[in-house]
Amino acid sequence: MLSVNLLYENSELGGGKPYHDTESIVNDLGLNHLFENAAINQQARNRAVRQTIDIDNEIHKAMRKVMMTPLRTEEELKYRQAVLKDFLSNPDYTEKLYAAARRLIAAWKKHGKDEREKGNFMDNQRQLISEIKLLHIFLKSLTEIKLLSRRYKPDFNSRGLRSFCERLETEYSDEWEKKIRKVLDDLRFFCDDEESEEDIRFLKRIPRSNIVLEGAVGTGFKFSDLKLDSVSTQEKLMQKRKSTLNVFEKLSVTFSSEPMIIAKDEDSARELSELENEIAIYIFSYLQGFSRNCRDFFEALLVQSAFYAGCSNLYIRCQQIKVNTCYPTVCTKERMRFENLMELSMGLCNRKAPVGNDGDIADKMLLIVTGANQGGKSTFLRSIGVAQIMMQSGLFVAAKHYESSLFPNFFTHFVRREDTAMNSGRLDEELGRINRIVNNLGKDSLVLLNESFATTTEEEGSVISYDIIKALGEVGVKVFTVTHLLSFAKRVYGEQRADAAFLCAERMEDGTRTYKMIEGEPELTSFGLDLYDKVIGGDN
Amino acid sequence: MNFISILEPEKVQDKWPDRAPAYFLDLNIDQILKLIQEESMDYNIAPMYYQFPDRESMNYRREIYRDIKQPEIFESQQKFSENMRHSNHMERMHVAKDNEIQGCMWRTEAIYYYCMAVRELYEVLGNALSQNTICSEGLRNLYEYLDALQKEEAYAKMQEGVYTIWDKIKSFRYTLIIQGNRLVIKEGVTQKKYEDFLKDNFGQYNVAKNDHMHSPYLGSQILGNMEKALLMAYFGKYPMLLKEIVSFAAGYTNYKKEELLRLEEEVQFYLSYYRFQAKCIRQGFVFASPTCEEEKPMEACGVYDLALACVNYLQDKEVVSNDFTYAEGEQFFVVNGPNQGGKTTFARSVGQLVYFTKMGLDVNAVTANVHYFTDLLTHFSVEESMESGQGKLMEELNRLSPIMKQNCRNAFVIINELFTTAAHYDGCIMGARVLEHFTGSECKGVYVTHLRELGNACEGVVRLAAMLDGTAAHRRTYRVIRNAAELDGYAEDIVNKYQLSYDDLHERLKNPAWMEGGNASC
Repeated sequence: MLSVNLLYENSELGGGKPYHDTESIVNDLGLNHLFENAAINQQARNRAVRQTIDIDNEIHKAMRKVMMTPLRTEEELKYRQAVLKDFLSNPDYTEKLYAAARRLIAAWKKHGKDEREKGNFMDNQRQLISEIKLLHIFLKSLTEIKLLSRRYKPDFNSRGLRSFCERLETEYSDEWEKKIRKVLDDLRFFCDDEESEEDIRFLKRIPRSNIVLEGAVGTGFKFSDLKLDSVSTQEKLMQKRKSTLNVFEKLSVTFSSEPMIIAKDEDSARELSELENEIAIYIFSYLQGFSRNCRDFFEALLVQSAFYAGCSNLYIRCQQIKVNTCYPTVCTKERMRFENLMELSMGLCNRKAPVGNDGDIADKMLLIVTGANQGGKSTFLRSIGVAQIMMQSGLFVAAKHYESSLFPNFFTHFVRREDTAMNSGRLDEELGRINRIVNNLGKDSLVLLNESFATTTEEEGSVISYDIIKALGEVGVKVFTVTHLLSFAKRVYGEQRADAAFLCAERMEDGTRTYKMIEGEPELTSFGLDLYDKVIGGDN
Repeated sequence: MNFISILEPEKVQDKWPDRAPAYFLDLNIDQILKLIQEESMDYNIAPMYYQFPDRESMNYRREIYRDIKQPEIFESQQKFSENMRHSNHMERMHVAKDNEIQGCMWRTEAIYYYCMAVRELYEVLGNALSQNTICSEGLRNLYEYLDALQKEEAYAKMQEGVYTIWDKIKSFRYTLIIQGNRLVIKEGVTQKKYEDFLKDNFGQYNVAKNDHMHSPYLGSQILGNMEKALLMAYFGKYPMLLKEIVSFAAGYTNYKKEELLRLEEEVQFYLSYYRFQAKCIRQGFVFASPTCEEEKPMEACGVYDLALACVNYLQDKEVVSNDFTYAEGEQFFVVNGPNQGGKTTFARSVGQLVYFTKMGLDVNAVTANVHYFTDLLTHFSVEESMESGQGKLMEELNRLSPIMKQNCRNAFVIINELFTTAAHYDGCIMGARVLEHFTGSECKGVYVTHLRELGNACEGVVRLAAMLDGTAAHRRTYRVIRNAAELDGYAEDIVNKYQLSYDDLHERLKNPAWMEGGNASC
């Protein structure tokens, strides 16, 4: 079987489930910036003058799809990272492979790809002709990809790309290719490969069937149990005629010595072409499996090559805005270590590298971030979220060093700014989301809470927050929370839990913010006053 | 030969009712029947479901159904009707023939499939009998009938004749040679080389698993030009065979036994239900073969509304099942409870249980013991009534009156929300009278009402309550439970609504399947 398997070693999809609530994750972490930057058409970007952004939808879709399905083991992660490294160091191959996949899909669409998906069926004969033509196209494209990969294979180090190239050689060997082409050639009486058609002056090459088959009689003396003995197509040079209708020439039945000619009419001609149709359908049924395999292969190749092409774009983009990148490594669940970790979504949005953070949070399952408004708390939380999502899809991350565990059960619960109505409906909505998270927790869960439970009073919010976080901690869920609920933070601090860490947004003596996170005790004010002073006016 | 029917012992139903009984609609059995009909291969089975059999017939059927549920017996009955259907079809083709010789072929085939139907069924039943896997009187009688038929001289002769002709025609082979628009037909075989080439090289890619080519001319029964030419040439060469076929076909016109034609129709009653049941089982529903022991209390475990289950399955919703027992001396369940609490569903599921038991089929429960009832009577309030100018109460009484007046001794009665428009006090008195009437006539039944007082209206009445399941608070789980306490309304608190208090969460997250080892430190 032909398979792409560039995302997972043994299958196209790896059996992985997408994150529970991908919509929230994308919105909360601003991942659309990332998808868009990955999908910006390379040529368009080079022509820097162009203002309108030319987004490649296939890449956008692929990035989202792949990034929203987490890898679950270190092995899977290493497999994908290795493939990505190969793609990034062979940008020509990346581009050509993706271009080949795109061209194929475009040609396929002309032959009714989407119609069939929509269920608009053509009549059988036209559909079969279109399937046979499609197989011609598949073969051509496969050959192209095989030759391309043959050329680049020596440069590859990853298991993924090496076996991708090898599979093309074994599952689509030259010998196999020859056999399929022979059958397609035999079938030319039914459907000719358009490109081989050539006219010689007033003569035309007309493919003619040359078939021998055997039969029995079935119910009511109808033909039945037909078996093929030989099938081929011969070409006959014929004068071009206006009418393409086959004229039936001769039917002879030679049971006795005299052949019996019974008709020279259109009915018999139609019968004959019906029989030819049926023969073509039958023969093609033997190629259908391969044809389907090709469909799956190219569908998968489009997504997977689009993903790597997107990664390649994103990598170039990071270099342009001077964001450092590294391939993250896996450590224990209780640890997270990073150096110069940046919030990439924001960086891409502002087209410059944001402030980086360092940290080594060891043996902790709960991280509580408090501190000054506008101090970069949310950005910090998002930077972890974005890095975690990128890591879990095998990407590089925007840091000098990043070390964390894999959390396939990853949830974000960010306060929703858009619904501003301060009413009980908001708490209901918030807790409804928490409830859905609780329902979907699993092994290796990480929950990012950003200003959660702020839709009620500080006192109530603190109690709710404390209860929920305590219960989650008891079943081994890792929780990072940015909060204004100081009585909650203080209460946890007072308990001196060994597995809880506390960070604050750094604030200099003069009130300026460095946007860096430092360890420290939660403070009773989040320095909204500073902000108030700054905006409304200084001390009177 | 005392076999006549597999629906009734020793008698034949001349005419089935053409209208569904009144309770079909109330109990949603019409919906279930529609699903059974989908499995009926276009036989008209509904009328057989419209009529209650008597006690003997019910037992007769139950035994037969128990036999038919064995895969090989089911298969054989299915094959039998398939062969019969095929034979009937050939016979119709014979009548509509447009070519005399072909017409004789159709008739020959009709006889062939008829003989096949008889022989295959005979063999399987014979086998099963020798291994003692058939217990029912009905199928034993059927076997004896088939055995006698096989030994009948006329039948044996017909069978032999048809097989001889069949073998000759089936062994004929010819070769077609197509070259562009020329075609030659010869007698004889080929080496089928291209078949081998395809199978050897692309066999594993043949997803359709078509190992043979279809003839394009099967869409029409009429012979095409090529086929006609072949026929003429063939019989031109073998004129004796032609003579043989023509005289054979003319010799048999009315050869099908009445009993077997009836069997073909009647067996669909079981086959379609079995196919329906098998489909339900694949969807995760349970069925029981009920017992009918009068000396034990009538009871069922895990009874559910089959019609609702089929609808819910499509919407991916579960259906709740209930247990019940009519203890000694208990005749009526009076079911109370909140709106939408599952009262009517419970009543329907019990009604369906009684119905399918009476039909001799398997029932919608895990286990069940169901008594014999003479009839099934239902009265459901019609909510979108036109009111016919009478007022709802009047209309209800008008509909109720024939049910009360007819001989209802030992019937099963289901009444749903009677007298909802009457004053509370009046409703209680009228309801009690209705209950007294039916308990006095030795009926059993279910009485769904919002009037709690009816729970002890008279002797033989016991109160059940449709209630919320305590374990999953604030969710209605539609359980109907004996003597249950009333429950509070919904908690207002949002935290409680989502079960997010520490205690609730602690409970929810207790030992989840995904957690390994012990608890993390707290």
